[in-house]
Order: sequence, then C-alpha cells, then structure tokens
Amino acid sequence: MGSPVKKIMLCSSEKEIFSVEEQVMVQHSVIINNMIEDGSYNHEESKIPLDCVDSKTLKKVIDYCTHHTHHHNDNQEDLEAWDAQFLNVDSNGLYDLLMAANYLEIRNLLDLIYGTIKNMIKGKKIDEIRRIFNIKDHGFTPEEEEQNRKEYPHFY
Amino acid sequence: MDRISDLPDCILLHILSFLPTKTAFFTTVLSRRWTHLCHDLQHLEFNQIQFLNRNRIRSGFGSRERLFAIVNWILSRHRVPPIRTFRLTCCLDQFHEFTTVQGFIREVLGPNLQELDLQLSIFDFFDRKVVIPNGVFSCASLVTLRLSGDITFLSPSSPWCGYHLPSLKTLEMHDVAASIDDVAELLSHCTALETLILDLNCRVSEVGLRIHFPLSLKKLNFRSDFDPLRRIGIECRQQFPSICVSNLHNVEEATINVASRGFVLKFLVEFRWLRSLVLGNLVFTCLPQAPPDLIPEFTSLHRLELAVGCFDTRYIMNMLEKCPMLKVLVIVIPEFFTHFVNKDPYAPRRWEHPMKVPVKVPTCLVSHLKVIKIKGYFESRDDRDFFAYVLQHGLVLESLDIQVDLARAEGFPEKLSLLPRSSKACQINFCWNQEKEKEEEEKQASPRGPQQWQQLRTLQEKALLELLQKNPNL
Repeated sequence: MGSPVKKIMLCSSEKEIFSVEEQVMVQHSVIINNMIEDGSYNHEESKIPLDCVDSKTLKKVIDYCTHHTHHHNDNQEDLEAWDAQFLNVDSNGLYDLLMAANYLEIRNLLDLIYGTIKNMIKGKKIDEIRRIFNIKDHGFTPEEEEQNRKEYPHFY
Repeated sequence: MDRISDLPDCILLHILSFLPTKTAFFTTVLSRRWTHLCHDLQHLEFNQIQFLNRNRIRSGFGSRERLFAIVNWILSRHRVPPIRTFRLTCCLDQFHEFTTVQGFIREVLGPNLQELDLQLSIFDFFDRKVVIPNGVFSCASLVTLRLSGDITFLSPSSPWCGYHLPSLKTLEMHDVAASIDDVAELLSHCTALETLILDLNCRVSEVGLRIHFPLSLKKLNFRSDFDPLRRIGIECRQQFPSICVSNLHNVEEATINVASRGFVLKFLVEFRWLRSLVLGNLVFTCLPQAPPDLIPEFTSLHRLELAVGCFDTRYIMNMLEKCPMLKVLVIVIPEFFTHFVNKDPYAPRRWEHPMKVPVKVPTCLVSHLKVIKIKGYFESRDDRDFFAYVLQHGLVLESLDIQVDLARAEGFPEKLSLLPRSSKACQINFCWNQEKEKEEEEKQASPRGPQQWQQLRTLQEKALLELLQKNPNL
C-alpha cells in the first residue's frame, strides 16, 4: 500500500473527536483549507475545536464531504438523490447543519440547504410559512397584523 | 423563539437572495424579525411577470404600477449595505416611466454595484429609448452589465462622459440602439473584459469600422442582424469600406453571426488560440463562396459548429481542412431553413465527384476528430458521399450522431450503416426530431461546476418564475 492517508482531528461541542481524511475536509471547507495552508494545524498535536457544532451534526457534515469527495464522478441524478436523502431531517437538524456549513464555509452544502429553505418559502402563503417554520409569535401588534392583512390580502 | 428566527441576519439575507425580490418583500409581513431584512437586501431582481394579476380580465393591467411601487418602497428604505445586483425586466409605456427607471438606476449606482441587468421593452410609436445614465459607465466596481431592448446611451466620445469600467468582465448588449462606433469606443474602456456578447441591430451608416477589442477577452459572441433574406449583407459590405478588428488572439470561444464576408474573415484571421467556434446561419450566406485560402488555419480549435442552409459538403470539407486539431464537429440546419431547402432554391454546392475528393485527407479526420453531430438533417442523395468519406477516412471517429426527421429518412439509417468504417469504435446514432426537445432539456440540466453556479441559479429562477405564473396567489 502507498503512504497512509493523512488525517485531521475535529472536535465537536461535546468534545468528541472525529478523525477525517485531510483531503476530504480541505476540498470542501474553506476554513479548514486555510488552516492547513497557513500551517496553523499541527498534525501531531492539533485538534480543530468546533464549539458550535454538536456531534450529531458534525457526523452528518463529515458524511456529506466524504460522499461528495469520493463520488464526485457519479452521475448527477445519483448525487441529487443522495443529497435529497441526506437532507431528509427535521427542521432543527436543518438549522444545525446550516450553521455548521456556514461556520466551516462549505459552499456546496450551504447552497443545498439554502435551496431547500427557499423551496419551503416559495409559492406559500404567510400563514403556511409561519406553520412550517413554527413561527408562533410574529411580534406584530394586533393592529399592525390587521393592517398588513388589509394591505396585502393576497399574501395570507 | 422559533429556530429560523434565531438564525443570524446574514444567513436569513442569504436565503432571501435566492428568492425573487418580490417574494423577499412578502416576508416583511411574516414576523417582526423579518420586517427589517428587506431593507438590507443586496441583490434586487424584479420581473414584471411576477406582478401580473391573474384574477382580473386584463391581467397585465397595473402590474407595472405594482412593480414600481415595490421597487420604490425597497429603494427608499434601503439601509447601509450596498446594493450589489440590480436586475429589472419590464415593459414601459409612458414617458414618465422612462424617467422612473432612469431614477432607479441612479439610485442603485454606487461604489459596490457589481451587476446591472436591464431588459426593457417599450410600447411606443415614437422610437423613444431609455437613456442609460452616464454614471453606469464610470462605475468602477461593475463586473457584469447586460442591456437588452429599447435602450441607448450617450456617445462615449462626448466630452462630458468619463468612461471607466476597469472591473467589467461580462458585457452583453442585445438590440441596444447605439452606433457600432460608440460600442467600439465603449470597448476601449473595458480593460478587464472576458466575455462579450454583442447582438446589434445597428443602423449602419458609418464609413469605416474599427474595433479594438480588449486584450483580456476570452469569449466573444458577435451577431449583427443584417437581414440575410434581403441580402442586405452585400450592401452592408459596401458600407464598411474599411474594417479593422484587432486584439482577438486571447479569445477561446467565439460565436460569429454576420452576413458580410469581409467582416467574418477579418474576425477569423484575428483568432489565434480559439478552442471553440460557432459560425451562425448568417455566415452561411457569405462564407462558403470565399476562396478557401482566405480562411485562416485554426491550430488549436477543438470544437466547430456550423449552421448551414443546406448540407453544403464543400463548405464543410473546406472548414475541416483548416482545423487540424478538431475533435467535435457540429452541423446545424436551422428549422426555418428546412422550410426553404425542401424546395431547394439554392443550387447544391456539392463535391464535383466522389473520386475527385481532396487528395490529402484533412488532418483532423486522421488523428483527432471523434464526434460528428448533425442536427435537423434531411436526406438528399448527394450527401451520402460525405458520410461515406468521413466514415472511410475518420480513423479515430467514435460517434456520428444524426438527428433526422423520421418521415423523410426512410431507409436512410439502413443505407448508412452498410457503409464501410475505418474506425472500429465508430457508432452511428440516430435521433428523431421529436427527441430534440428532450436533448435540449438535458443540455440545460447538465451545467455544473462553480463557474456555472450563477447560470444554474438563473435557470432555477426561470423555473421559479414559471411556478409563480401558475400560482397567482403569491
């Protein structure tokens, strides 16, 4: 066998350590790519602390990056099907993923999630969107809400 | 509090940037958390179609007013973050609306504007145009500028115009009412330009023509609509006694559609490192008659697409000889031509005799040409010599794809498959014209990769638009 695959350590908010192929993360995450390039990561000692990403989310993010690294030559339909399956999570899971992807600057994953949220908004009525996103308290006074409903009746 | 409202502004704004601005505006009444977000939008995109009201009989009525009201609302409350993108598609009617649009443009202009995209059409008998404010042409941050429709701009050579577009990478002009000299002058101020699409409908009155293209240019799409049916092309040649185009040697992809032979040749000799070339159907009205030695050799061309009015084998062979590295040859017979060719008003310019075919087989056939695609083909007896020839001499040919009208191609596939082939790997594929649309769809669905991200987004938005049209409630 050739030289062993270089690994890096990622540490979740629960202090759980994940060991990932360096190439996988470098390819997808702008932040990690920068860390490796500027030499601030030491392969013997460093762990990358990701305090705002919990283990469950981090595992998913790593899954995503690994799959897209090893299957980038697959045909588009298969990849899309995989992505759809991947994002089949509840809305809390989706926000966690979004925050993680945003923190790690994973462009493809961000676009995928933005696209999903966009689809949740487009073509819907205000009341429906409030239900989907569980917006219970819209923060308007009853008068303002009534005024809005009067002004833009077709939105509701 | 609900999770989505917990997300930071920058993320919510990013989500909104994926939606048409009208939908983004609509989230202002979603909850108080969202109300102010609309004041911070950096990418504004409006299309009148989104404002049609399906419930009324005259659905177009009032859509422009609603559009303008929302643009005004957003622009007047817009806060610190600079506007980066402004796209507007609409029809104008009254003169005061021209001023309104010009006002919008002035409002969004700023040191951070990166993309300005205007598609305007005017219902008007007086041939009036929207005049682009001069500030646009001295906007140093502008990267993309698309102008389409009844638009004009002041001549850049006028003393009060300080033209300066150092960041501009993409310039597209469709039907813009400007003299070609002014466009040439404008180009001399775009020092970083990489993609240029000129689709001019210009009234040609100039004595000479001189375009000094920016040296940075990588992709050129030049089209000038001189009506080929009335053969204005010939007159146009006389109207350009001197043509000078220069600095095209860094261009890698080019599309040329002009009906003047002198014009086309001037372009062709300038290209040095061209990798992909498309010659449109207007070129077909003039280039095939040119003596082959006037056409330069394209030493690095990989893909050649020719639109032809009839299956002109001599023209095709002449071009093949000029492209030693060619890998892909596409021949397109546009649909509106098939209508004519049926009656065949053109004398077929075919080979004299199959035995008198070029003594030397074109280099690309022997060593590089892998794919030949023919679109919109209908059989005529003489072309069989061409197919026999490429199959016999195409040593590395991998596929010959022919899209043909089923009704007119009786027995043709069978005859073709009997011809001897030199390349064992060569596949002959037929696709019927009915399948054409499907193929187009696939072509549209395939673009991937970071550069095409933008393009993909526009496609998604087109789909979204359609959805919006079907769903009038939004």
